[in-house]
Amino acid sequence: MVGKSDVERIKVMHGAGGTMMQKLIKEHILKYLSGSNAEVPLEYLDDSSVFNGIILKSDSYTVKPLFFPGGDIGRLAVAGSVNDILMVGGEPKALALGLIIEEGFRIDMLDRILRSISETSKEANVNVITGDTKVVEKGSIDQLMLNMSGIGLRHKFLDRNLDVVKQYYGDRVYRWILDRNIMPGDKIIINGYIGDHAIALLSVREGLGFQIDVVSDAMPLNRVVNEALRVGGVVAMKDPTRGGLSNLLNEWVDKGGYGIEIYEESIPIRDTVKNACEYLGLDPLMLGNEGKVVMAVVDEMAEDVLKAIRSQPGGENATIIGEVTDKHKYVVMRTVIGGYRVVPPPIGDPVPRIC
Amino acid sequence: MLRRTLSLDIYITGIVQGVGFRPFIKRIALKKRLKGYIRNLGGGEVKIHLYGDIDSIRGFFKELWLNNPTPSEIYSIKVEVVDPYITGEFDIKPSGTELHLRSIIPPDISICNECIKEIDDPNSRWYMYPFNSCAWCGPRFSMIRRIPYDRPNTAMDRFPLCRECYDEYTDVKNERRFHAQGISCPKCGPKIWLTDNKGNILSVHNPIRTAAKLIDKGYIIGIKGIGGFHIACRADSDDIVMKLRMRKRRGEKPFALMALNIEIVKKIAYVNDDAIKLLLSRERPIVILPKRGGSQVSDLVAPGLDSIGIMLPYSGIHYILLKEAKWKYMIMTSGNYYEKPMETTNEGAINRIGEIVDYFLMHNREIVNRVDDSVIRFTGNNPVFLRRSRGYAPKWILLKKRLYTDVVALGAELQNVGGIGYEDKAILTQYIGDTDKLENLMELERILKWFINTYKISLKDSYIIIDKHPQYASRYLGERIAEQSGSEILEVQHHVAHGYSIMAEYGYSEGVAITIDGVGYGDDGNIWGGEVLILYDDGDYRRAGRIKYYKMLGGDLATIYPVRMLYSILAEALGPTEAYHVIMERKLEDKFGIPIDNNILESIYSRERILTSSIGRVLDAFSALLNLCWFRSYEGEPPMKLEAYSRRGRPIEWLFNKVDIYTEGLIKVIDPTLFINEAIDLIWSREASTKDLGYTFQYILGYRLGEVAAEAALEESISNIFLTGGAAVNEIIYKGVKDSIKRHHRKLMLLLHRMVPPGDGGIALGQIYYAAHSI
Repeated sequence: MVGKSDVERIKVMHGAGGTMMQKLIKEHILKYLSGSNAEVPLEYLDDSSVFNGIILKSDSYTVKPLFFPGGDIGRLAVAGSVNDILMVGGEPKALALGLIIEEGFRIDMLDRILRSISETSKEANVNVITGDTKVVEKGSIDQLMLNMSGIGLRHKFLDRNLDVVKQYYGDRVYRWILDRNIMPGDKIIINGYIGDHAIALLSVREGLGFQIDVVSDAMPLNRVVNEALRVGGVVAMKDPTRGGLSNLLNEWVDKGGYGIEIYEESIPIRDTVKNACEYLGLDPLMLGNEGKVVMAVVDEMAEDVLKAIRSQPGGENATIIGEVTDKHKYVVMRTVIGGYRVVPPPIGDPVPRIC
Repeated sequence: MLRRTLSLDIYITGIVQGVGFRPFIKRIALKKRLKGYIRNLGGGEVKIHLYGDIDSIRGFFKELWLNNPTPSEIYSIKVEVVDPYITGEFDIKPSGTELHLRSIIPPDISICNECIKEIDDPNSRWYMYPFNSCAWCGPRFSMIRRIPYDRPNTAMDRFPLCRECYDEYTDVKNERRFHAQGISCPKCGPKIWLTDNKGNILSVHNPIRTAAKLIDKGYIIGIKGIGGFHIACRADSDDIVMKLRMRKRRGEKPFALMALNIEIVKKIAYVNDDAIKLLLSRERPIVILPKRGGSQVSDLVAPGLDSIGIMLPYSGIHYILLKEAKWKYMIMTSGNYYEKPMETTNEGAINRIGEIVDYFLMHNREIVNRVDDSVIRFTGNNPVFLRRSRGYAPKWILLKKRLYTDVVALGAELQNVGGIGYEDKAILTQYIGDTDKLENLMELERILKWFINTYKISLKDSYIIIDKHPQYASRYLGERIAEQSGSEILEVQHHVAHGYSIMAEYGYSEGVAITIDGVGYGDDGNIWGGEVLILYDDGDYRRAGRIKYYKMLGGDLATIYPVRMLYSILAEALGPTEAYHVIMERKLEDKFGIPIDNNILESIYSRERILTSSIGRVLDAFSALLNLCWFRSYEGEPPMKLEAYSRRGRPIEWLFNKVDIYTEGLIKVIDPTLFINEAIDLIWSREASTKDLGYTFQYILGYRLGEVAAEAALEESISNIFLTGGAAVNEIIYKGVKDSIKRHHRKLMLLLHRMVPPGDGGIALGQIYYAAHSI
């Protein structure tokens, strides 16, 4: 059979945030590294883990090009790590920066990136307090890679938020905001337009042959999350980065054991992004974002949380895009004309399906 | 004289329950003066105990084989010689629940002539009675909740028999009604009524007659039938057909017709004896027939096609409706809303298709299992399934090679069918539909689980078989089932499954398969669909040939907008800029679904990574080139229109070598680039007729595929070549394949599908048969 005897090798798709990556993590990484006594352990595969009340997160960054409309690798790194700490109900407190630099990299560019890290950290109310710098031979990496790790402490509004949840789901006790927490009836909220980051990057990386006016949404989400937790009722929270909305929702369904229905007409997407998708045959639900958060919120609190998010920068275009259901265990999109289309988890690149 | 006596236990499986089999057996046992009994077993099989002299027993079997008037089908028969234990008069015993062998769930059977006679007879109790049925006919699978097929286990449990019906039910001499589970009469049976499109009942004396009159007047009526709702209206008026298309949001996909009888069919289509036999068969499929020119049927029924799908009435409801209508034929299309499955409940129909229809004809018999109409077409005089559903599903398909473990097959995705397999049997579900739609996916799950229970499949020891495509929702369901039950997953490549599907029909374990269709996920991550595969008997396979890879401009969008494929092929041949010029020259620039210019196309083309060897995409491109189809509004539309348009074309022989074969490693690559390029000049200069070009293109593609397959077969000393995949129904391609194989070697055999669709409705069977070879 084709490929039967080949040694298995890592492919780009293994890092694309889809089912191939899930498989790699479950079959290889968890096989060796799971089994800690952390309160939120590695095997939960949530955005961050929790040990002794401390939230810990590590993330590495590589992006081509290093500078893109709306951001750069530095901003991406701070926003990414800060957001992941926020997503479980943590308040980011300190960051650790690992720099891996290719021989020959321009120092003025490094300065620009470090300045961006400094500025974004201020925005996120956090500091880089430790780090490491390595220079590697020319050709062994492409320009520059970053690792940004961080710690956080229990968010000041987390218990208040969970108290509100408890009023509705009293029989279930939550300590953190985890993917597995979703409950039927929860409303799904997103804080704004999807796909901006992926399309902005694509337009500078490959050239689309047409003008497109869209910038990356990369930003730390402290304020959006603060306000949501202050109001209370947030059950689950996650940022739709690699693999986009469809990966995020499928993870929730897998971990939570309930289905999710989203409404095509209410998913916020800019016309430019939509058009670009139509040109290229991309599914907007699978596009990555760097300044978005998706929340599952107790039905009764959804409008209040929505209002709170909208008052914050980065949350102006927040909207309810769907709900959790116990009628099935799939991610389903109700189309504009009323069809119910199953949204599969992405595997990396889109694969044609119709004949 | 001492006569030798014998005592036998006989176990028969097949379609033997609920088809009047027991009364028939009782009749012949009594006739042969045999003692013993017959009874239904829980699994659906029957057990017969016989005691008597050998000659009588011999006579009994002779009658069984030769004079069986029932629609029973015997798949296996097991005879054991036992000590005599019953000596009373032969009798029918109550059904048991013991499961001896696992047996069949009976399919729906169209109304029989005897029942129609009663409907027509003013003196009969069943005069004008739309639910008339007997042991020999009527719904089964569509109304069964659990086996055995006894009235309490069906949707007829709500209708207790009246005195007269009960007397007939218990009268062993009444062969058509004795123990016939579905019988009823106007007094005790289901009721039919007419409503407006919101479900408000209209008080009319004869609802069906009124519905027929309404149809005559041009109204659109939703009709609850056997396996679901239909939508009916006149087929002879452009305005009415157009109205239906608008309301149903149905672009150009053809509508099926129902005609009262063969005489009416002949007025609107051409039929030969084979077609008549199929039309009249118990299964009553929709048969795709050549449209008769000059008939009254509107061109909007099947736009751009030279054929038309027709079926005959298969229930009393349909029969009375057609008889009462002025035109004795009408549109009878699936009663569903856009992107939704056919409706099966009154409430669902009112909610979802109420805005399509003006009135409803409804009844109060529950449809337990949705069963769509089956569809059959002819490819070079061979009948082939486009859809195997009502009348056929869920009958068994016997496998030549036994399964070591039970399996559950999820099929592919579009127009999907699933199935289970155990021992030497494959049981396919009815047509489910596109399983990327939630309702269909859940229906597939429901029916598979029902099969699993009914056939006592032990999931944890089974294999769950899924298509290799990483994003089919059916795969997702399969993975779920496996996760819950701890069963193993088996992934089967799409075209390999197609190959095993047709091999299963013929009972072969090796062969060369020409597998041509629209989309299948390939082992190399590309989209396959123009493949020649060598299948070995251990489940191993080799790709011997394929159509050249082209880029799929925008992935699935290249399927929806065929001009994208045309551009891609031209860009391959001439470079993007020249390809763009051709597109502009032919005024196709507005057929991409988006505004384009040279830069845009060039950049999309250069970044596109998805490659396809699909014959469907190449045919799409050619269909667009001949201005036949620029937008795919239904599956297979561009190639179907190409086939219809060029059916009477003639081969242009000097163009044959413009579809070339070259070798890439071990693979023969069929390259149509030059042909398409040449065709553009010929169309431009009007040097060749577009009909002939269309014909030649399809023919030579088939011919080259046949050539590659024949060479592979000769190399491997294999004599059977199978033609499968959705495009295998194309008559012109088939002719090309056939001619080429015949020319290569007289010993080579070309085989077509007979039992399941060559398209994705046959994938589940292939998955199951593949499992029989590889596990």
